[in-house]
Amino acid sequence: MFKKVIFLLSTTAAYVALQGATAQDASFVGWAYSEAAGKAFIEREVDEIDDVSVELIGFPWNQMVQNMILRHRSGESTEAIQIQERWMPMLVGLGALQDLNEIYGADALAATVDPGLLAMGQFDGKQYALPWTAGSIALVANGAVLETAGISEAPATMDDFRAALEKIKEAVPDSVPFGLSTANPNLIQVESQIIFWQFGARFFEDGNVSIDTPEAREALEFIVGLVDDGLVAKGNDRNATRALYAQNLVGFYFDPPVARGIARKQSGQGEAFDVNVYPVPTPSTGNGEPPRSVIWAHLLGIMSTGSPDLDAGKKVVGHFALNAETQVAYWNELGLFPTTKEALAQIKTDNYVTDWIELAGTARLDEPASFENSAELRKIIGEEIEAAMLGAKSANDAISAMAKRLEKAM
Amino acid sequence: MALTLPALCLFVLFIFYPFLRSFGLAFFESTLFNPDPVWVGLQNFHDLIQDPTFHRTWTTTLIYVLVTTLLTVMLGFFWALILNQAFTGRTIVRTVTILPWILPSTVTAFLWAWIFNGQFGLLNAVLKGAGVIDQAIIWLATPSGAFVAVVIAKVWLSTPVAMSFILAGLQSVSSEEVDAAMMDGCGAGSIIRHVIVPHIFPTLVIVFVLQAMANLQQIDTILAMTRGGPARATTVLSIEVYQKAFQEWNMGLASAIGVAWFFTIAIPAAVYLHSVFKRV
Repeated sequence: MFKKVIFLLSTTAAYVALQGATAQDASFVGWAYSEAAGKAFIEREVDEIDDVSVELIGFPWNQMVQNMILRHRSGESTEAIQIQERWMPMLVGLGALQDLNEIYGADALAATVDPGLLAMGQFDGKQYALPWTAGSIALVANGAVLETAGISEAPATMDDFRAALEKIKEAVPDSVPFGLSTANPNLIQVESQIIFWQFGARFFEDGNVSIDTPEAREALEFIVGLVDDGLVAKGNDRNATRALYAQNLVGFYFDPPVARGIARKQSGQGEAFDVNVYPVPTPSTGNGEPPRSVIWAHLLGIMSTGSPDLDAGKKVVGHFALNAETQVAYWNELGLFPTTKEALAQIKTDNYVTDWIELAGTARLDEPASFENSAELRKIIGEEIEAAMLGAKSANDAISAMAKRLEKAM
Repeated sequence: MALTLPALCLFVLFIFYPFLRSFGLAFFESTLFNPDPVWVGLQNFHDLIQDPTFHRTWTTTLIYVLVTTLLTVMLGFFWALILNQAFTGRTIVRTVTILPWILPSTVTAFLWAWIFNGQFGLLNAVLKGAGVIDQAIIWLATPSGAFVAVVIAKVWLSTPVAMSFILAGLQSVSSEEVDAAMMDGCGAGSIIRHVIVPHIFPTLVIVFVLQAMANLQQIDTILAMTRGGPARATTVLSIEVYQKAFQEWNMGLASAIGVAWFFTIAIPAAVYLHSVFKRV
């Protein structure tokens, strides 16, 4: 009996020692893990990574920046971190990210990842993150709603767009014809800037505030007019809009490519609902601006803070961002675009993908994102647009106040 | 002295030192990209004084505190008067009245956010059912609607506390005095004005001051219901400090607002302490 116990103990000790010698520990921090759909996928995929034991940590999207900074300030090691593309300048400024060219090799990355998408994680010649999924925040139409309203073509100009929204309001009285976010200054800024761009307005040029222009006033007056006429609903944000869209109560709204996956789930119809979901070019104002949208990407990086296990980080980040099989699985399950050349080639038969990629060709980087105090700038822009949309200020006063506040914050 | 030492140590460690540190930080520039504070003297205070959005926040705070506190004390007073009467089921009513007090404030906030929700809210359903409105009103999307909603939520949450204090005060009102006033022909209003209010006036002052202090520090219901919006309509000092510190990571400016906030609270606190020590 005693010999059996000794044998059992020594075998267990040897197994534990062997595990300790081969398994590496890594932490994966991201908002995808806090969302039901992403959680199941990530849990399954990390089990596929050889010799790495991954601790999964999820924070809601709106708490990610706060938690990234806290981890950085407290010296916590993070082998894989999910990053929104607009947070990159801030994290690079903090010195919180590893140069992934040193880990994977620049040539190997260039050979694997689509070059345009790879550039989203580059700063000053260094590769601080890899694109996990990418696209743009563009105008998404609802085919069923448009059909009910008798609209057969995507509106080409802003005048056509307004007329289409009025038709939708008439045909589907309880609908929100255009689901532009009117609540949450952060969302208001990101979405409204597309309309500002289309009217030829820019918030910043050459590092200076450039929003106090007739084009900006015209853009904001256009938005305010839509709100006043009930074509855009007050108090809506993108989450509320997505729910209404899935019930065929929204004609158009701004969303990243994840729109189709969400509509599948929220409509309860799965892939049968796909026929209703398609991106359309943002209507023109006749000033020569191509259809604008905002560059959007989820990136993966390795934090330089603390003493991260770089080899483990390489395996985890690589599994999600460089492995074509994982990327296609992510596309199939969540509808999020892949970023590697091989995975993109596999899904290019889908019109939803090709249309979106074409639109992303004229997408721009979110304007405040290139500034270190982007959160403050974004809030100022969002608050002033919100004030005009809700009638608390005229469009003219809101633009003047926005320019003054931005200049002070620069 | 020795007996107070443990409490004093804890106070210094967890209250006084953090307070001094954040007070001191108000004189430094300390941002996300500048974690090592740089001395800027009174610059942060100068920026605040020059900032019209801060003026608006301060005004919003004062209006919020004044309206919420007045409503809470008035409703608490009248409810206490009712619960001070003898009627069948009084104990049950008194117990139920305390319920909002024991509910977590975030639960209360979400409850009221649902009531005021423009699409699925109870209020719109009731008003529509009664034929008062044809179309749903998006209460929380309008500056005035959101302000009223956060005030109502806080009043609902605080009225039981005020009522309890005032009810305790009412127990000391002599029934002989009330009976005598009735025999002299005084009506209910006259009795309240000339007998009850003068008798419990010190209690009313203390309840008012305590409620004002609590409302000045209020953050959770507002954060959960409106996050300070729309268009900054419900941005009070507590929300401003939170946003500057943990969303914009400007610790220096957040601390300067905190100092302004502290001195705003210090006024009712001084009134309260004065009234307490006057009695000792």
